[in-house]
Amino acid sequence: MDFLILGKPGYLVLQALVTGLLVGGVYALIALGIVIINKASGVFNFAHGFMMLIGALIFWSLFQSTGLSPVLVFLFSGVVLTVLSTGVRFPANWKREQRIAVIAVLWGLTGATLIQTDHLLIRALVGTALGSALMGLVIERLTIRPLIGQPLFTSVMMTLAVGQVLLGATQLTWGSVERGLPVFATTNALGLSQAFAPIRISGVLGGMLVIKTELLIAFVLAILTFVAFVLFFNYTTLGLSMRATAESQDLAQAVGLRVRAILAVAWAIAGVLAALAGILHGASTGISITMAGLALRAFPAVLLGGLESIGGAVVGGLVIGVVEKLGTAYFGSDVGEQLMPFVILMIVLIIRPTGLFGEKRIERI
Amino acid sequence: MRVRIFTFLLVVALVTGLVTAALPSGMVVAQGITHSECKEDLTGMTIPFYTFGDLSGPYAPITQPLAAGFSDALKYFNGMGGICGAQIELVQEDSGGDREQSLSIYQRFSTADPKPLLLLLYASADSELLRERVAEDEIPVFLFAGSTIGLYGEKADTPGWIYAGIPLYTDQFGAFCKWVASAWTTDLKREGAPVIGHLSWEGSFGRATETTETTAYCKAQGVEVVGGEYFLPTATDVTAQINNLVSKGANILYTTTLASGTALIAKDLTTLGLEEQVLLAGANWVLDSSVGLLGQRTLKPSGMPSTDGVLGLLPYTWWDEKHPGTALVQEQFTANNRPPTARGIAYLAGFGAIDTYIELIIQTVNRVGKDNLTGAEVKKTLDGFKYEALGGVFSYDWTNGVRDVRMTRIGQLGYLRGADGAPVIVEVGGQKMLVPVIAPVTTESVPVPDLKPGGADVPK
Repeated sequence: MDFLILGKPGYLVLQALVTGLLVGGVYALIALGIVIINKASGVFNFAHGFMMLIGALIFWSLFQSTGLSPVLVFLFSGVVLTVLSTGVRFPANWKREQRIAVIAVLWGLTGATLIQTDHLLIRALVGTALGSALMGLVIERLTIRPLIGQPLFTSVMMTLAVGQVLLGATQLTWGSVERGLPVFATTNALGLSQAFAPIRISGVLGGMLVIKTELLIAFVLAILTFVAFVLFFNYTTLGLSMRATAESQDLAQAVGLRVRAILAVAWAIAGVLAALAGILHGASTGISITMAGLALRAFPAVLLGGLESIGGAVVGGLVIGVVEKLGTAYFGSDVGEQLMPFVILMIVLIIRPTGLFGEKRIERI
Repeated sequence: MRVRIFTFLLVVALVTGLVTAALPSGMVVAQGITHSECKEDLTGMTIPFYTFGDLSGPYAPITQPLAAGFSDALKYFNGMGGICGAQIELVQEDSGGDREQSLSIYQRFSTADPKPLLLLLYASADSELLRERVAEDEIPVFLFAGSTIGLYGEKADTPGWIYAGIPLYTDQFGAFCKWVASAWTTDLKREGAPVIGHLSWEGSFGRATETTETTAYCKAQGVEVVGGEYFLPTATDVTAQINNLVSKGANILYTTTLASGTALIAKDLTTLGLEEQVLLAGANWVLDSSVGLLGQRTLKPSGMPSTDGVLGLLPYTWWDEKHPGTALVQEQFTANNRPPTARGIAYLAGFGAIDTYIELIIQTVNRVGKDNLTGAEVKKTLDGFKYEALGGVFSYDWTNGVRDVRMTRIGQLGYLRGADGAPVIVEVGGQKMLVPVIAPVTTESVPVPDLKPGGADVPK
């Protein structure tokens, strides 16, 4: 006899719940990137989806076994490391030569990693981390920093424009053909890349539960990233500086924090997070230009969790994922995917206008 | 002597006449491709070919090769003399799949001087949006999509200024129902009765197939339709939708998606272990290399990709079929160093569209003269237009108020196999992959049913 939950076979409900949680992991990761920017600068980043797309395409390019020009590689890694090093606070007792030596060693290691073709995953991860961080820095330096002092809405509109520029750059560089991303894959007997097999658990609530491996990996990575950020914001100097800057840029500057550098770092981190989300999504469905639209699915997650809450982004992402899939299981996709996330969002915002974990600000007059 | 000379001349004249009669009438531009003879020389003129559509939005993966097809076809046909000596110039813009952008581009195109003689579109949504406008502006449209509303209006009783290069999506679905009902126990070797669930992209395109008329027609054929589920092109997972349809009894999923949409459904069917129990089929777009390439990362227990065996409608000749038209396209594709990922329906359609445009303009000029060449006159030509584009790769007959293609075959996506039956593996860009091939399942084209609202084949 079937085990029913509200008239639905139990295993199908469980399947929807588990898949929703796993899909929500990707939403959470996207939401995290948007929250980081918002937390640091108050800007809602509409370009995040396009940053995901570019990050995923950089990864795809480096994951191919084709060799790269050594000159270009060393030039690229040199530029990125030099830019990144300007935001790093070296120990005060280090001499200039020591600092240069560290950067030079890192440059050599990075260059060597990007040139080799034996370990493509490592090459792609290192190259994407650098490339996406650079993308975040460039966006901040060229488009957001000049708008400091202008109404916040101007910066938000600027992110819309940045998104379109990134889309154009994507098309000029990679075109629009969809690409498979055979990461999280194994090689089968024919020598073809093959996605990891799903995990199947039979005899659960009267049926079989199927867990997609790539979604599970994405979920685990999203949770690990969340934990890493909690630790980063609570226990590192840079993280604490970012929190202070988010609280009040003027006060942060008054106590000697490099506010502009901190904002730049926030954009670099958001670039890396966007790339990670793009890779995880691309590994599941392939990389297509529609990927940028996935960020729209994460917006309810951001608002639900609270615009400035790291934990809220994760909870919001997971809630939206579960609502979508359970809603689809019970009411069909029209209601589940199109309507329910936004209905839940509206209900939460009516009850708690700052979102589930958003900070309640009290204006003192 | 005079008699001998006369006899000789008579024989020469007879032989010449017989040879001429044996050749197709008109101007042969390539083996198997014939255009009408030009009555006027248009040398020195430039005739624009206007097109716009989604080159950077959700449909970009399939429309980018279309643009490549236009470009390569123009290069080829202009090299062969263009349109009676006139060069064809491509005027192309990107709407990004955005309605406002489409309107804005159309506004610019429709007010150009001279006005477009024809506009090529490839989105159902654009055809529905601009249906009334193009009629007002007297700009005929060649559409590579199958929207009933776009072609025939809300009540499907007003053939307009838009002419489609494929059958209506409703009629494609009807043709599939008819075929699957007859092949279910024989060719497909299945038990019970076929039961179909729609699983498609959200939007005009995806939702075009699920109508009361198609459901009633399929039921009359002995095929039950249990409803539809829809998803966005950004979706990561459609297992919940598949479970819903299968729990309603569906043993066939019919999809109006393309590229990653179809590949995602195939993948999730395999993930759920339903690849043997449930057939995957769809509109003409599912039979494309893009689906075959994207679907190979998930393998069935048989070791073949999840997209192996996908069924669909094939209203044209495919690349892999022996045909002078496809041979010409393949030759140009290779000459222009196009990537294997572009070897799909979009490129083929782009090439065919340019060939069709040339014939259309020649016929119009021959009828009214180059000084009277207008969109309205092109429409008059279209209303009586019958043409075998690329020598028969595409067959168009828009006479008697018909605005779409009325014949199709059923085809199937598979992968190239060697003489030993093992799949052939090639290496492209350092990655090993199988080679998708599309083959007709039914050899002869059959008429598609008329399932427009009030259509001749809709059950009363």
